[in-house]
Amino acid sequence: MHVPNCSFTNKSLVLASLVRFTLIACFSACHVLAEDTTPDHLACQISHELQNGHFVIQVNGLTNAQLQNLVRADSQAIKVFVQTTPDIAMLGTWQIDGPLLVFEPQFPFRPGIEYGVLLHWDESTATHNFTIPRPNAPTTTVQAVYPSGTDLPENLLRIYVHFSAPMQQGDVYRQIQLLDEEQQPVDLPFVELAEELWDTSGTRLTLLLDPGRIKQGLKPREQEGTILQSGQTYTLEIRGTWQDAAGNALGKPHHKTFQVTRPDTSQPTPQRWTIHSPAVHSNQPLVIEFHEMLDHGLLERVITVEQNQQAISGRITISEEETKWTFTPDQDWRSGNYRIAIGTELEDAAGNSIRRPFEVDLKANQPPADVSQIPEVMYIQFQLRSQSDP
Amino acid sequence: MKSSELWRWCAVGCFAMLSATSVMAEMQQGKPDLKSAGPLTFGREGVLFVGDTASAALFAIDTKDQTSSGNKTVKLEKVDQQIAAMLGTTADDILINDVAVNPESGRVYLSVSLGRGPDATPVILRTKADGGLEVMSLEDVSFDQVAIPNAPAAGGSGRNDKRSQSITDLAFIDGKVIIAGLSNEEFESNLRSVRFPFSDADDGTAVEIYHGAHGAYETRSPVRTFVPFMIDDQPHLLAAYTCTPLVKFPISDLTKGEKVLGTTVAELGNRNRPIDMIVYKKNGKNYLLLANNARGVMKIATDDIQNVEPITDRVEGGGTAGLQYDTIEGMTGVEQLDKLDDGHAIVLVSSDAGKDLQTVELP
Repeated sequence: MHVPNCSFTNKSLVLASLVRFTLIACFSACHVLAEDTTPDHLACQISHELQNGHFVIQVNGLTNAQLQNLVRADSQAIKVFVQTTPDIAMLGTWQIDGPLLVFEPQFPFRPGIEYGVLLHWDESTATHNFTIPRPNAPTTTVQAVYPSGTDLPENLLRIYVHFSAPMQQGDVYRQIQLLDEEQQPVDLPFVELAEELWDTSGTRLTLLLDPGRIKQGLKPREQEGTILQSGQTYTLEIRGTWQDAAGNALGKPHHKTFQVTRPDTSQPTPQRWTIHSPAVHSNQPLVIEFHEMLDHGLLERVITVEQNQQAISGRITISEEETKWTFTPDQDWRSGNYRIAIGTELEDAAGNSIRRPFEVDLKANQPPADVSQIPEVMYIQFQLRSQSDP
Repeated sequence: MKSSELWRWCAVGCFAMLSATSVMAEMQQGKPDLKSAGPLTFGREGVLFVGDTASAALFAIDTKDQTSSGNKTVKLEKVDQQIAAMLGTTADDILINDVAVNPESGRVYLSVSLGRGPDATPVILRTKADGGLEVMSLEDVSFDQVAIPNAPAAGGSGRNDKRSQSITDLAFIDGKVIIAGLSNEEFESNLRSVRFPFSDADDGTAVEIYHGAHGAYETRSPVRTFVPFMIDDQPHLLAAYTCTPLVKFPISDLTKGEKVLGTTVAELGNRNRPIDMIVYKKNGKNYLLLANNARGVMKIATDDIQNVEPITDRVEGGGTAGLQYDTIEGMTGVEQLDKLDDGHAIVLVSSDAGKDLQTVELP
C-alpha cells in the first residue's frame, strides 16, 4: 500500500490543525502515485478505493458541518480535476457517507492521467495530486502488412496493417506515410476518413488508396497523376511514435518497401485456379493456388469448404504473397462429396472482384456482364473416395 | 451532412403520415447500449439518430429537447480540452466524432469517444443555455435501435471475420434514415436506408451506387458525405464520393435492388476531401457549403443545379465544368459543420491550439 499525503495551503493554523488528512492508496491491481509536500500535522486522510470496478476518492477527518458545507459548495471549492485543466471540474458526484466525503467520477479515472483534488473550506485549502499508472504491457508491434508481396500493381486499392494489440485511433493518417524513391512523402495518397477503417478489435487498419487517383478520367488523377507509378519503388512507413490503445508507443518505425508493376485490370477467375485435393481419411490440407495475388482480408472470410451444404470447421492459412489458400480441417476428411464455396465479392489487390472489375470500360467491344446475374456464391465440387469405397 | 431542416419540408406534404402519431409512442424506455457514437442527425420532435459503427446499429434517442434555447450563439474555445477535462482526461484522449444542431432547440450536440482504442466509451454532450456543455444522460431515455441493413454482424462469423462497416454519414428525410458507409474490406458502394419509427418487418433498403466517368468508365463509388436537397420540388441527395466528384440522384431512385448511377454536377479536383456539407439560402439564392479537410470551405451556388449539364466529358486544358465554387477566405480547419438557423452555421474548427466550437455567419 502506498501512502501519499496531500499538500496544504494553510490560512488558519488553528483550524487546520484540527484536521488531519492521510492519503491512503488502496488498490487491488495497481497503486496511486501521489505528491506529498504536507507537514504531518497538516495531513489529511484521503483514500482511493476500488468500488464496483471503479476508483472513488474518499476524504476523512472533517467535521459533519464541514462535510455539509463542502458537499454543497460549488466546483471552485471542491473538485477533482485533470492537472492540465485545473479550472474545470471533472464530472462526478460528491456525497457524504458517514464520516467520509466520497467522490464518484461519472467516468472512471484513466491510467496515465495526472489528477488533482482540491478542497477549500473556511480559510484552508487542501490539494492532492495522483496518477494511476498505466498497466505494464508488452510493446505493441506491426505484425504484418498486406499485400505482403514486394511487386504491387499501379492501381493498388487497399493495404491492411495488422498490429499485435489495439492501437490509438483518430489520427492514423499522420502516423502513416507513403515515401517515394527519394524518400519524400507522397501527397495525400490515402482516402482520409475521420471514421477510419478499423476492425472491431482495433488491431487491423485498412488504408484505401485514393480512388480519385486510380479511376480513369477523374480530375484528381488528371491533375496529379496516379499515386503509384509503374517501375518506381515506394516505402510505406508506420511511425514509431504511434501509440497503442494503452498509450505506449510502438517505439520504432516499420517500413514496407515495394516495387510497382503495371495496373491489374483483370478479374479473379476461379476457373483458372489450381486445386490440390487432400487424401481421404487424413487431415491433409486442401490447397488452392490462385496464380495471382488476392485480397488478404477477404481470403480469410469468403472461401469455405462445405459438405452436405454445411461449412466444415478448420484452419485457414494464406501464404506465398496471398496467392495460396490452405484449409486444414479440424477432423479427418471422410469419403464423400464436397464443395468449395467462394463469395464472388472476392477481390484482388486492385479491387477487381469475381463479380465485377474495379472499373468497367463502357466502350470496350465486350460489354460487361450484368452483375445482377452473377451469383453471390460460386461453387467448385470435388469428391474424396478411398479404395475401399464401393 | 445534416438534414436538420429537411424534415420540415418532408412533413409538409406527402410525408405527413408520420405526423399523425408521435414517433415517441413506439420507443422503449431504458438505457441504449451504445458501443460507439459516430455520425449524428436529427429527425422530428427532437429525436437524435446516432450511428454506432461498433455494433453496426442505428439508435434513435428522444432528447426531450424541443424548446428553443433562445440565444443560440455558441463560442466554446478549446472545446476538446473542455470536454476532456469534464470527462477526466486530456484532449489527446478523446475524439469528437460529429456535431449536429437540434433544429427544435438550437442546441448543439456532439458525439465523442472517451479513449481512442476499440473500447472507447461513447459520450454525447450538448450545449446549455448558459453557453456551457453538459453530458446527455442515457440512463433512462426513450430510444429505439435497428441493425444497419446488410452490415456485417458484430463480432463476425467466428471465422476470423474482421469486416466492419464504418458509418460515414446519416440524414433523415422522407421518414427514413439514410446511411452512408464504407466497408473495411470490399470496395462496396451500398447506401442504406431504414424507415423510422423502426420496424422489425422493415429490413431496410440497400442500393449500389455507381459513378460514371466521361461516359467511358463506370465504377462502384462509396458515398463519403451527403446532404438532402430539393431539385425541381423533388427530394434528391447531393453526395460526395470517396473519389471526390459531387453527384446528385433522386431519393426515389433508392429502391431496393436498384443500381443508382449518380449524375456528376461538379468535379472538385485533387486535395478536395469533402468532410461535411450543408445547404442554405441567402439573399434569395441557394447555396451549398462544403467543408474539405485539405482545401478549406467551398461555397457553391446551386440555383442552376437542375440545369447544369452533367459532366460526361473530360475537361481539357485544366478548365472546370459543372457547378462553380468559391473558396471561403478565413474559414480554415473546419472539421464539422451544421446549419444553426437561416443565417448561421455551427463549425468545429481545428488549429494547433485545439478545437473551437463556434457560430459563424453563413457566407
